[in-house]
Amino acid sequence: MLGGFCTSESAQFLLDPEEGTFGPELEVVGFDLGSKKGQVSVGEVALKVSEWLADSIVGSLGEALAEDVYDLTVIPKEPRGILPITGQEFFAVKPPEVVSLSSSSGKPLEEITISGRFFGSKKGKVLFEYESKGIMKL
Amino acid sequence: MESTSGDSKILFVVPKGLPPGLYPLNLVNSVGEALADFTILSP
Repeated sequence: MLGGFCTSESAQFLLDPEEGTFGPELEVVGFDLGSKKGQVSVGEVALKVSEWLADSIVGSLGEALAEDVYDLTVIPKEPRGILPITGQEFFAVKPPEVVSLSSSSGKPLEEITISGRFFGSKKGKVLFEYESKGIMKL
Repeated sequence: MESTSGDSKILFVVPKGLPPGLYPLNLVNSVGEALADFTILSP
């Protein structure tokens, strides 16, 4: 199961969204997460936490992970002695998906918009594959 | 990119220098790639 609701004795959370790519914000929603900033990680990668409240944590994946489903681990700082909470298979890292193009053809220097999902927040590349002297190039 | 849905848009400019025809177009980011077909028309 992807995502879900994870609980420990003193803290509970869920994640929104449950799938995505690097860059955009993720929000851990729960309660009793403590008021002091702890750590959150997706797989082995720590989120860049921008806000930590007792009922929500906001952060982003600053590093690209390979396409897979990852555990989410929250390490609160309080209450003292609380153990890390791990939600198994909580977040799916997805590759880009092309849904449509504003036009499937165009003349040189025309602008085309590609619509889809999971392009990421950092600029990627749009490459044309072509053959040159019998060799495929991008 | 919209965080919750993952909805995304990219704007690109059709390159000069390639002969008119049908090309595989690769959209690449750090996680993977997506493919589409695109036809370059005569200028």
